[in-house]
Amino acid sequence: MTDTATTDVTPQPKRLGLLAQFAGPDELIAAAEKVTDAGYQKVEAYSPFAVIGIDEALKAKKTQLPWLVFCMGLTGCLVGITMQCYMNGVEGSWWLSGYDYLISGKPSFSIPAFIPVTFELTILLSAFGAFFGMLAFNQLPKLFNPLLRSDRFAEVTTDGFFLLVDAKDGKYAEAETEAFLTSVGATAVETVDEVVTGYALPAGIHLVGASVATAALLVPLYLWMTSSTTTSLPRITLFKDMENQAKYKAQRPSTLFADGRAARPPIDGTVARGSGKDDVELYYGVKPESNLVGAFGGGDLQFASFNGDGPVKATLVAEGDEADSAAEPAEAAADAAPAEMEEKDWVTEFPKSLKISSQLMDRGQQRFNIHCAACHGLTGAGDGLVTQRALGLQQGTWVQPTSLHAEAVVTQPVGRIFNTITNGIRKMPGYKEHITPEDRWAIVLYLQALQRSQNASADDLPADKRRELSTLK
Amino acid sequence: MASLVNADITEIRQASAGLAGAGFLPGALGAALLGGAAAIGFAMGSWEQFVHAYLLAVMYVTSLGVGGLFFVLAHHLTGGRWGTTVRRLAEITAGTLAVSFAMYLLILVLGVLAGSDALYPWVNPDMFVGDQIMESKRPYLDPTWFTIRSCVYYVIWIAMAWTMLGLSTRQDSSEPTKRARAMQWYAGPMMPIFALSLNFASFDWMMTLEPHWFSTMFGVYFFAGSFEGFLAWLILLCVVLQGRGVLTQSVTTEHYHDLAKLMFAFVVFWGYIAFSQYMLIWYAAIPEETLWYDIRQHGVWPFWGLALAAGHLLVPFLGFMSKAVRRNKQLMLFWACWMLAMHWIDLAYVILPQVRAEGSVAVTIVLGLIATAGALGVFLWAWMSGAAGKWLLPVQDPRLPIALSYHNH
Repeated sequence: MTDTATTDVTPQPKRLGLLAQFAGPDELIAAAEKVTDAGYQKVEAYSPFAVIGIDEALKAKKTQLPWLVFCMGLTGCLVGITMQCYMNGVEGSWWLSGYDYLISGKPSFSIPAFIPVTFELTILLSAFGAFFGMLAFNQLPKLFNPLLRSDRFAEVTTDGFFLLVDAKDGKYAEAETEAFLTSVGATAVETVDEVVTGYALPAGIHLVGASVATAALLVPLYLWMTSSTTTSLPRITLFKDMENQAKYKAQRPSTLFADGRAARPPIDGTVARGSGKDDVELYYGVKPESNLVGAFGGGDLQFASFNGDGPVKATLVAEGDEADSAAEPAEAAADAAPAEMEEKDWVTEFPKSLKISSQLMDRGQQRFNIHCAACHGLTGAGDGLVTQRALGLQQGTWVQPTSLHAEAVVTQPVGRIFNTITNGIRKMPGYKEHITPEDRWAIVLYLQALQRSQNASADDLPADKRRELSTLK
Repeated sequence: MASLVNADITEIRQASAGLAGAGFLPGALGAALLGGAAAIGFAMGSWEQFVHAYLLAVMYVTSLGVGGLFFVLAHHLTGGRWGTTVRRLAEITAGTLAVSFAMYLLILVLGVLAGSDALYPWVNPDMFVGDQIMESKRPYLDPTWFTIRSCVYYVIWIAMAWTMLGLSTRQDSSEPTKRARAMQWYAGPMMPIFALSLNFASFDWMMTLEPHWFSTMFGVYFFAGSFEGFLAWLILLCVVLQGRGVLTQSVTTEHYHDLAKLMFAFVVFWGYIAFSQYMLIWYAAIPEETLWYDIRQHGVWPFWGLALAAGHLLVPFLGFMSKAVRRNKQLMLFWACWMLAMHWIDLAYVILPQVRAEGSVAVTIVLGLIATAGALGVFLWAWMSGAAGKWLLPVQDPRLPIALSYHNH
């Protein structure tokens, strides 16, 4: 760069080539054939629609796109099958190990199960290869084409047919090529230049641009920071979504009601959900005379009321299932209760309201096998499939269920076993949400039969059966 | 490229009336082979093997006919143009269904109605006793009702095929545009009737070989194989006819390319359907569904199934995936023969393992080959006498010029 011409550096445009227009598709094909026959190699055709035979006339090289698509498809196929084999079939203690998970009893390596995903991945990658490969081979997206600056070239979208002979072609010689194009039937020939580049931006613009770009980052960065740090100030959010709602919060005044309170006391005669479990033997497995009955429900609690009618009585729900804010104190008491329970408080007989029958026993067996056997095992020995799997993984957090035939369990009163099913113990969760009280008792009944089966002797058999047994060899 | 529309015609476009006579030789040879297979089966005490082989043979030629019918219907329904040059060949192929019907009638009369359970076990009323699944199917699997249904399927197809063939041949002499519209109009209502009847036909004829078993996909499975088999037959037919100077100008590389593309699509579709049927049953693992595949997990059949997966899907998938192969007449002749063989292997996999009698599987397979060769001879006679004296090109069809100057992009 010379020191005198700092602003006068207009670069000379480079010649792109010669653009020749033709009357129609047949003329275009004929001309393209003659031009390529004459030895020109860098020739491109432009037309408003796909002209059949133009590829052959231009002697265009066969596209490599099918090979790209094939390779992409093959990649998808191999990636799909390898990924699944690794993920489902190879498990170890290393980082990013696969997870050998048993699904529907199928083998870890099972080709039929892998085929759908493999198939989809093959299709996906083939489609990507075809679509993006086509764009890439066509050098698309192209934001600007120098030909667009030719006024005549605008006709290419309606009825213009053009050939472009590239200036980089070895045989290109402007005057001769122009004459040749006219001789093969071009109705008009013009020269086209490359887009001129090389104008330098004033140095200050860079600084301004960098400043604006940096400033533009500040707001998103600040929002990002506030969303990932803790602060006692209210959160800053762009869109308020559901944060501000038109509603009263607890203990707030309201002018709508005469007593000035937004929170309304329950109206007289309201029965809380889950209340009415007066049969404490059936619902809680404790004796009615137990002094801890109140802790399990049925007890009344008073709370303040300002509606002028005096204190309102409300039955509280001890079970956590319908807990609302008012029931929390009683729930805490219920949680603490079993630990303090005296053994004598549990019922030792089945509740009187429960009809003991062989149907109940069958029901109990069915429920046990559904809900309990997965961990406890079908015999209750504490060797269910889940337990076996957990112990096999050696995760260390699994507590093996106590054998239901252990002395400590066998001697438990039925009420306590019922309570364990209801509220859980140690790692075992409570099942009151899943199993009705009657079914829980049915399980207790079946459990007794199970325990009996493991502690039976020949003397328990009827006399005739015992005789039969003694004659067996 | 030069258009063929105004070129001098050097090809043969009309079949000679003597073709029916020339077809007598393969027909007689085919009938002899069928009779021979029956005699072998009877003499060797392999009657049950023979009837299964015979069903296979009849199903094979029937499938080519229904494939042809579908081609004609789909072509009219979609307003297709490229296929106009080979449409008449497809119409004549669909016309052979009448002969397939005659061959299937033997099964109905001598087997189902005569009370022989050599082929369909449910013909024996003892099969239903004490079997809950069979009990519920009893009204459907009634021999008389089955016979009526089977006849209805064939009659529907033959009526459709002859309607199309009749309109098409009348188009050659008068009112071509009106006839073209009429064919297009008929194709609409015919298509759903065709789809339903083909579904139930394949349920009845092949699924009831194992009466406990059911697969809702079975009809589509049979259809996919049939159409693919027909396309292979059409390519083979074109090459053979062109070797005798017939339609040498009209059926161009472009048409071979299109037929090959369509056949390729149906190779993939067949694989998709066959695998879907297998995978759903494999995954659910319900005994009354898996029993069909369980039979095919014993003896020679697992290898047969693997050969099918490879030969009917994987090998041809890679084999004529390339455009260069599809545009090569000689290579496509090879692949057409390959697919016709694989279509036979496919139908044999469906039918032959259902033989309950003790005995060598090789006998069943050999009988199946002889019977199929025989049925193909009869089919060939049916085709030749169907073509005799007819134009092999719908010469007056308004879409023919477009079909002749058609190019793939």
